[in-house]
Amino acid sequence: MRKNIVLFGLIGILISALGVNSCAPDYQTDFEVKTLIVPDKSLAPVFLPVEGGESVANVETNVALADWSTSSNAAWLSVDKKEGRVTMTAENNDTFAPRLARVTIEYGHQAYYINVTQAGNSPYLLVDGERTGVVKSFTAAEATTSVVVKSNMALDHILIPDTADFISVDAITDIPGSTDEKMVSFKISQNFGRNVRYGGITFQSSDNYDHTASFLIIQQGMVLAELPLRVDMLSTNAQEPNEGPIANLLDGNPGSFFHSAWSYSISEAHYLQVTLDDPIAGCVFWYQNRNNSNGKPTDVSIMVSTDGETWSEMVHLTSGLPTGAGSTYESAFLMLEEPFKYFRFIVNGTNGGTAPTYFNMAEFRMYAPE
Amino acid sequence: MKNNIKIIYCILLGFAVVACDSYDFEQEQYRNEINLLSNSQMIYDRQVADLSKDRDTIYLVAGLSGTRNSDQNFRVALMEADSLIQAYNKSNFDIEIDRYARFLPEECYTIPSLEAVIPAGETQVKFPIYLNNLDKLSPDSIYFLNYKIDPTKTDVFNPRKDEVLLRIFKTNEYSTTQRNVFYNYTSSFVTTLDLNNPLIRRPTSSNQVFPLGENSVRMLAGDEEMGEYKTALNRINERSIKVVMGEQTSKNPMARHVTIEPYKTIDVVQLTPTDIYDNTFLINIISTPDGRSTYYKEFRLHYKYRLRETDPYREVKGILRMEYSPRTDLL
Repeated sequence: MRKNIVLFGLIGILISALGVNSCAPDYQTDFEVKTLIVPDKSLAPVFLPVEGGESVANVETNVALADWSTSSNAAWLSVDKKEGRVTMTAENNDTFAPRLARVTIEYGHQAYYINVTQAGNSPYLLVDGERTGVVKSFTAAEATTSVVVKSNMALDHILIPDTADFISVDAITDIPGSTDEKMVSFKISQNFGRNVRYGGITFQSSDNYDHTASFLIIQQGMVLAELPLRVDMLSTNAQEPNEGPIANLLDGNPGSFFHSAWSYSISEAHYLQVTLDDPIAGCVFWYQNRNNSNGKPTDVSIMVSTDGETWSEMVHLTSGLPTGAGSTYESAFLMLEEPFKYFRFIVNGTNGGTAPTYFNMAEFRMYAPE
Repeated sequence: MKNNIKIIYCILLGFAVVACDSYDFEQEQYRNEINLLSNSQMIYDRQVADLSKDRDTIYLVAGLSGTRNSDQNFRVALMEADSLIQAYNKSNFDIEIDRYARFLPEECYTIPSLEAVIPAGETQVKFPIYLNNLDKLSPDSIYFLNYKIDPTKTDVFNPRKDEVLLRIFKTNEYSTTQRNVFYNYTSSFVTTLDLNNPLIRRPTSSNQVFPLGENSVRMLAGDEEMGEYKTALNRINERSIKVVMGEQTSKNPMARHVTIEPYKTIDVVQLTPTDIYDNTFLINIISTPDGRSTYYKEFRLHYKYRLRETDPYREVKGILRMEYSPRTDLL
């Protein structure tokens, strides 16, 4: 029995010794770790001048030259790898804008990126010698204007905002003896409104959309004078006999009013007519509603005539007419090709019904250009 | 006596060990039956056609059941069918006929052969389907191919897996019909070009982008709303623009010029580039000082649009951005 114990003990010691020995590290095998590092300093963005040049990125690696790679995503930037370095080369930049490229240095799944920017040619784009600040002012009348645009880029975009549709490009002409200047002419249509209007014109080139020049056009509003209406100029096809004589439209008192017929009926739409002393080319009309709630025109045709026989519709208003008590309305400037002497305000509908129906009004005025 | 008992135990143990070895794993445990690969709804929807290729290939797969490879050939033949697509439409859309899934138009695919053989030792055969002209497909419709096993030319098959609906998805670099792809507005402006109502809005919403062709997508103009997608067809047709990607810009190889066009009836005018709204599609890589990068796909757009002729234009300066992982795209 004691012999067996000794035997098992020896076997245990032997196995333990073998186990310990098997865990010993292998210091003889040479493990070589392949690394590729681009130092932080070489990863900084590179800026090259417009005439081109070179930049070098250092590469610290024990990888064979054939086993790592470098590339550029832009045709204008070439890359060349040598032991321990990547050279980035750019030729002259013929464009007027800076350009970008991205250089990749990679080994296996490890990659480094370097952003490269090359400056472009310096653009200039001037309107009458300035990039901004030129202002041209005009009266309300139709006009033309020109500016001299000087640029070393292609002048292929003239931007007129939608809100300045009264301005249009008339012509672009070369200036004799100058290769970088052009004369650009604009047409400005007549301003039929009373308000001043503005239009910012911007010049832009596809060579460098970011480099723009602009100037401002200011056009004054139309100056209108009130036509001196008299009672004998006014007439209607439906005067209400019980109230609201037509003369009240001109008395300057918003408390009095004109009323068309409600105590009898006629077969046509009620209207108010003005017979002017002299023909006019166009006008603005204004009225104030009676201070109550009914009989407010909502659908109105403005008809005009030179002889009182042949009539033309100048405008048909179906929206925007006020229906509030005492509210006012001023039309846009209205005109036709032919001057007119007779002006008719025909009410096709009110907030109470459709024609033929009565309407009422407190005050009425007309304006024409001075 | 004790020795006898030990001997008996050893014999029993020997029998037990030998008994475990007697099970015949070499024999077929199931039937060899042909089936068409699909999910539990009889639809196979795991493949996407890549629009960047002139012609992409997807596969209809016929498999062979069983626990072992068969030592004989199995003939498989397919024929066109329509029962599954009808069942799909009835169960999903009922009377909403406008929303019914459609058969893939014949001009959009080619199947070189409807007959094949699962060779001995193999468990499946693939029927290639060549897809082309997918730019003609509406990204809002569901397209299927419906095939079933031709019983007269096919060896034994599983009658419960003898028909399949093959869903047709398409994808390009910018979006896919396989899932909803949204780009988010950032640093964007929508300005109503009306002197009397010069409203400026700054959308921060998202805009769903649909693939059309290899280099074209559809999206809603400005901050227009699609509403409920199921009933949005008219709104989509009225309010959508088409953005077509073109050549790389000379300024930045990561950017491509874009052209903005009406999708259907919308009045849209592409405006000249201004500031960062330079009418490009940009792979925008934003790197942090510690070397990590975030990748975005960005539409940088400048245009104006209106839905009706009497409306004022709305000017859109928009950055539509979607974060993505270039590594995932390679998977």
